[in-house]
Amino acid sequence: MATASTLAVRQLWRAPLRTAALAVALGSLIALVVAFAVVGDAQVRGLSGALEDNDADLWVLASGSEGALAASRVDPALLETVAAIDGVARVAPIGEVRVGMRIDGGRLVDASLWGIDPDNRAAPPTEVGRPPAQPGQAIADGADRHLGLVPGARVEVVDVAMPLEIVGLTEGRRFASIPTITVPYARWVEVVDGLNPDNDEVFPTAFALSTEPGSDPDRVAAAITAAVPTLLAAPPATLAAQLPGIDGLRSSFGTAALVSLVAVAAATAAFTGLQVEQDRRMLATLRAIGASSRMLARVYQVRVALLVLLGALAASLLIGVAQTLSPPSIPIRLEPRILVAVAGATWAAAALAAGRSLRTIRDGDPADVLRAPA
Amino acid sequence: MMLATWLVGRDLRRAPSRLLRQAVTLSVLATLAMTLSTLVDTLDRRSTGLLRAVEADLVVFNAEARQQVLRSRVPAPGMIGVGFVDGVHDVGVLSVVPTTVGHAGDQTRATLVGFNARTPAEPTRVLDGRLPTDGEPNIAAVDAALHRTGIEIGDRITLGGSLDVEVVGVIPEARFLQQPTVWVPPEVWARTGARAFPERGYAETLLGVGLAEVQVGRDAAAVAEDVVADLAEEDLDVEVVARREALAAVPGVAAIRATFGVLVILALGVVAIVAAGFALLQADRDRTLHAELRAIGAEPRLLAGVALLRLAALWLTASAVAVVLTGALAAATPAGVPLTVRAPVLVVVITLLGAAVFAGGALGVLRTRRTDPVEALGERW
Repeated sequence: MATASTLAVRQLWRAPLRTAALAVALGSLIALVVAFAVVGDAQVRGLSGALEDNDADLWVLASGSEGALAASRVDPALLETVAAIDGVARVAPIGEVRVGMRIDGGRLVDASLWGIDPDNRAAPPTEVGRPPAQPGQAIADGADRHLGLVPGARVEVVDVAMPLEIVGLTEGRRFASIPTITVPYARWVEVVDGLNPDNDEVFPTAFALSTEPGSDPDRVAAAITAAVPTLLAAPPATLAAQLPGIDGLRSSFGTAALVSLVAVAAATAAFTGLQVEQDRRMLATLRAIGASSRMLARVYQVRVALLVLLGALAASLLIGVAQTLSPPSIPIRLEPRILVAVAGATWAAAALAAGRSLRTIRDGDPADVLRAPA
Repeated sequence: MMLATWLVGRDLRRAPSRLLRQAVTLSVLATLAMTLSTLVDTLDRRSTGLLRAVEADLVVFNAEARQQVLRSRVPAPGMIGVGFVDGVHDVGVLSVVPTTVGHAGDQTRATLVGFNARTPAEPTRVLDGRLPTDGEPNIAAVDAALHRTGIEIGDRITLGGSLDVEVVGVIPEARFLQQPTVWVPPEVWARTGARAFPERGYAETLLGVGLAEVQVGRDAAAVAEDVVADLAEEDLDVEVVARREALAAVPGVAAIRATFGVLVILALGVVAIVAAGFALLQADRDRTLHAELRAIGAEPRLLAGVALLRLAALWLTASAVAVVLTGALAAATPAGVPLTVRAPVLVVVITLLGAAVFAGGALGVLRTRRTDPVEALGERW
């Protein structure tokens, strides 16, 4: 094995430019698969994090909304009906509305404004600062720190003279891929009322509820729909998966990562096969002067493994550079688990291709190879 | 050139499987590039199909809506005012609201579109039947995405769980925010919207967005400025943008373009580099053979022609295989996966791949030409 390793390293060292080019090409393809997997996951969380990681047992939406939060309006009069259902420990309204806002008097940006009382289990946990205690206080998702959305920032909602002060930050609770701010429910009602001055009543978007210890959330959900057919109850993570666009985005990134992985494996296998084919005459010569075919195979397999290793290192480097240079909207980061899995699949494909090509060398007569036209 | 073509033809006849073997890698790379480009193209179109279905030059939003079609509510008198601005040929209204479509016991999420018939807000193409006209009660047209779920002309569908309408036409796929669309007269939209969003009240006097067609020969940007100025005199703050800008402002589109789009462009770059490297390797593979041929008097130009023609055959074979594979993948994936193949996307990818292959091949040929035959023939391992 030591001889094979020495020969393989020398082979790679003898053609440093070609080795570097192959390693960078491999690294770029591996980095691509990792980027699709990581960014896809981050995008989905940015669209649905507010629901996906929510701590409430069940959310109740208008059944006609078909899971689309923007289309859900729940009659507040039904709050008591839901609270009276067996297994429901606590139920509270939740509101969501898209608004235009200015952070510290800056440019106008779109935002998702949520109304959830801090003592509601559905409220996002405060990771930095403190939860809102006053009506004019709010917490924001930390993903938008770069916009200035940090504790102490003053937020003005367009068309409503009710400034908000950011007092805390949460993490991973973004919604619709836009800045996400949570205020106490009563303040949310005031904001929506201010945005729609002609309306009679503000309807919550959903109810969030906790079930009693020991009760089955699925049975409680079924009981709610049976009692009020216009309502649909489901765990928030289930609703997150059904949000409009999530399916398309998840499947797009998933398909992209899968096709890229197949391409990496196939391209590496083909490059390896081509390399062996290119060295066919030389390998036949070596066999003709007595080199063992097992030794030659080992040299190539070690060389393939080294190339994939170099490719993985190049991929780590490329991802590291991308992590530093990419804007916050493209959250690329090094995910060792995915990198190892992709490098493993690449190595397996390349080793198989090398093995297959080398078998033809081993099984053939060196004289035939040397006599054949190039 | 004739001789080079004849030599490549002889080579292909002698070992036809060699070309196919070599084409496998390039086919995989081309399939990757085509699939990724198709994904980003379909994602974008499924978000913006609504605005692509109409043929307006300008889109009018109320200023607070910040170019969001869902949020825009321009007062009806404002829209009438747009029609009187100098340079505006015609104006129509398009209003949207999220809804559900009930049909044969199934519920589908959709976007309800209220539009003025025979104005720039009307879809430009109808696949079957006709479009509803203003004032017609309880009729609708559906887009091809809904039609594929089994909704036919003459069927009755339930909008928002409460309003029954009859389907009278089918238009090409015109999704909005990944949802299929149902096109109805403005009155039907207003009634459904009022039920779905009680806080907004009855919406007939608050319309969605205005779509304006500019007179031939007039500068759309200048007309847009005039519209803003004219309506400002009536105390109406509006934002008027070209349709392309409105497409980019659809929620999620900027995020898709900034993340998925950028990654796909990077991927295309990587594919181009790898394809060029592959072509270089292919040209390099024949270095010894070409050195032998040059040593016995073959012209370098002929050898270069042979190498490039072989790469052209490789590129065409790989492109054809990739088109078939991408088409098969699109047909095999569920409808939820945004993978709808369009010829212009494939053409762009094939062109890019061709450029990369010929760039790599040209480098390989240059390298071969610079090689001393003696050096190449005596190459050490």
